[in-house]
Amino acid sequence: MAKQEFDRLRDISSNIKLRNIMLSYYMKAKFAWLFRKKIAWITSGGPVEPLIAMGITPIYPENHGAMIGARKMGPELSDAAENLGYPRDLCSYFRCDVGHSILEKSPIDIRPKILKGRALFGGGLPKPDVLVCCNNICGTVLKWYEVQARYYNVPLILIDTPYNYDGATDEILDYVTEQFKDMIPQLEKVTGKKFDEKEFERVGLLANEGIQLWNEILQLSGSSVPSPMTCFDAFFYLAPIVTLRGTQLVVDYYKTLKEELQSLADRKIGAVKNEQFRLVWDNLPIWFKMRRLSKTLAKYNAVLVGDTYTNAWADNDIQVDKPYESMARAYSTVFLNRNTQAKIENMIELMGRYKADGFLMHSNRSCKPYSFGQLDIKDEVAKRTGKPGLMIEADMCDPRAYSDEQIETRIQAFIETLKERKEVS
Amino acid sequence: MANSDFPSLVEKISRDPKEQFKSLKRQDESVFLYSCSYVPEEFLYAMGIVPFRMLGRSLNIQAADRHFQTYCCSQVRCMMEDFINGDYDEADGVIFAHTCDTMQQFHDIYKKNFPDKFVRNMNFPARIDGDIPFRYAKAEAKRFLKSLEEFTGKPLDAEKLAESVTVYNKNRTLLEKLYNLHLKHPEKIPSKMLLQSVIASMCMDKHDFNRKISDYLETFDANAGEDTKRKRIMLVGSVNISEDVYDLADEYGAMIADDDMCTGHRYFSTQVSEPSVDGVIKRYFNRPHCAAKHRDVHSRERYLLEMIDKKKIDGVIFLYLKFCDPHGFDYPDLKVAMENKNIPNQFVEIEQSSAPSGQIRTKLQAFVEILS
Repeated sequence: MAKQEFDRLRDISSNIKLRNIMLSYYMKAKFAWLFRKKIAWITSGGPVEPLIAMGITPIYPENHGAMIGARKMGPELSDAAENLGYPRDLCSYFRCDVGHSILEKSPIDIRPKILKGRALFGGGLPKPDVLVCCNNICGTVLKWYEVQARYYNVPLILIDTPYNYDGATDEILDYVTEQFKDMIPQLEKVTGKKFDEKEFERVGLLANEGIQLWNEILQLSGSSVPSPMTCFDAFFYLAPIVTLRGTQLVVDYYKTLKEELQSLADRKIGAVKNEQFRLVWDNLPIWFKMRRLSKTLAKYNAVLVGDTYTNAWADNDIQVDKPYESMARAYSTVFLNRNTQAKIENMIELMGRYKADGFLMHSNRSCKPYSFGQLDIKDEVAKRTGKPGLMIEADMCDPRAYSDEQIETRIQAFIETLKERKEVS
Repeated sequence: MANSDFPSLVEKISRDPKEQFKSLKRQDESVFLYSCSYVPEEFLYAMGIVPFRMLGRSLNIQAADRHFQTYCCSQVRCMMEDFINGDYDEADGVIFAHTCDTMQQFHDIYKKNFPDKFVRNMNFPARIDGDIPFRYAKAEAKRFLKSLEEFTGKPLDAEKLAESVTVYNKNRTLLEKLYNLHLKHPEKIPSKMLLQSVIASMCMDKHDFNRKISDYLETFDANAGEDTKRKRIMLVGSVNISEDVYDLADEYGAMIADDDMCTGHRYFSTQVSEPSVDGVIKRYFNRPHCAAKHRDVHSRERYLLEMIDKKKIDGVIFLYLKFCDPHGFDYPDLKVAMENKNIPNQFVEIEQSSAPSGQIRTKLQAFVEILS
């Protein structure tokens, strides 16, 4: 099959739709003040449902960080933060966020022709009225949001979800439940509106539906041989479940995406033309090398069939009869808040479920809780699955220490190992 | 001059805590290692256990590289190296407390690689800003205590806890006295003795330490040789075991007058106000906090400015342990806060186990000159 013919067969409407959804989302957010809507900046693992129910527009600096990385704006924005004294070892999402706040530069830069190319209200995210931080993904976000609360002089709502060293204990669940209940009056103060329990229930159900669909999409793709979607696609399709969870828009979008992927799977049209090697990815993407890494792996007929990152938004479950209690459980037990042994079991399960031949681990200098433990995880997963793993050191947004040649040579050698194993078996 | 072996004792123990550990084990003590100051030592002590602070000492990190990437702080990598080297094989237990992401992962990695060791974690909240986290911390303390009771086979005795709190409060008072005495007598009490005393205190049976420091303070001749003209420097950071900055400050005619460090004032600051489980936990909500904890977005700035004023500090050194994220996040805004008050400040990056670089020496020298 010619490449052109293969690309045509894979041409699905969901890609354009997603661009439009995200563009519209950021446009609306940028002009939220026109509709007297409040803006909340929220962490990617944060409880967005109460915000949506109160008509607050949630903004995700981490999603914005990914956009900055993909547009290769990381070094310039990081430099601005580092010039203030922030060490280069800190999370690059944070450094980019601070840099973007100071420089008012970002991939979101609305410049209508009428203004002759001048930026409208400055580039970047709309300024926050409140910050909502949930530390279920890392301790970094707590410090990050403290910095931004000082910079923008806005209230900070903090949801502390203690790490599951010994699982989600009753003490943790009670604590997080109490904080969710306490969050509501704080949001009422920000908006000046009364919280509507019925609306919250409706949003919760929509969030569940969106999460369920996202989960089904990941399962469908990962379980199909060949896989109709790589993780590089999933990192892209992930945006709605992170940013617009709890809306009908997300549900409708994922229904279409699922149908289109199902159609590709039924017709045995994989994401990679001659799928030979199925791999699982661990950690955040290397945003500034998505295209190049995708091409490198495709060249070797390797496809990323599943990952630990996009799965993080695939298993929340909010129960309408106990919304705060169920939210406490859902948000306390996200992937990154589970202990290292749980991460090992998850990885092994993914490898088995998706019939993977090996795994790639991104040792991400920007994400210490995701990365420390990987060396032990790699050993145990390889031992128990009998499949090899490769660790590559990089950063999700900062390309300054990245070497294409070095990484690609290592990938090539890894694929050779997989090939030899396949030939032997 | 005080006739006491205290200075040589704290110097010896702080420089070679591994030998001190062995010595405790030779005396057949039950010794638990603990990871940071958010471990409620009073509980352990009340159960007849000597809490011993883990501070990595290995100079050459090799084996730990199989578990931690190089962008992990040297404190944790050194500790892991010490563990793999078997330096603390005889420890009866290891207690962690939740603070930063790196320590969190260290707990998991340690537990995985030493499956036979008794390992527990005090899952302390990140928030220390009100009743909700306080209620959780109390409940978590009870859960933590239960696991200790299962290990020792006996419940926590209220009287023993009260005794333990008394010993620990006395320790805090005595270290506070030493710090204050040092302000007036920097010649007799060199700056490094503050660090040595705090580290030794973390590695000794508190009762024994209290006895030694009491003897020293009681026999100290406070009437002669006051020197209050030295420029006063305050250190701000997380963990440091090196005497270099202290020595350099003294060498250039200034002094380390106070600090906000885990291996310093933050460790012993604030008394436990009531001898109970809740009282021990309450102290953590009142004392100056680690950068990994949240009281409010200005709490650390407020505290530092207050201390600078109270102790008449002339300049601040941010002693930044490389890769210590919580302190890295706080530094730029704290620096601005200092500048707004015209307080000279200097950023110094350190790595545990490495020798002092020429850069640190030059920085310190230049900084002291600015203060003069």
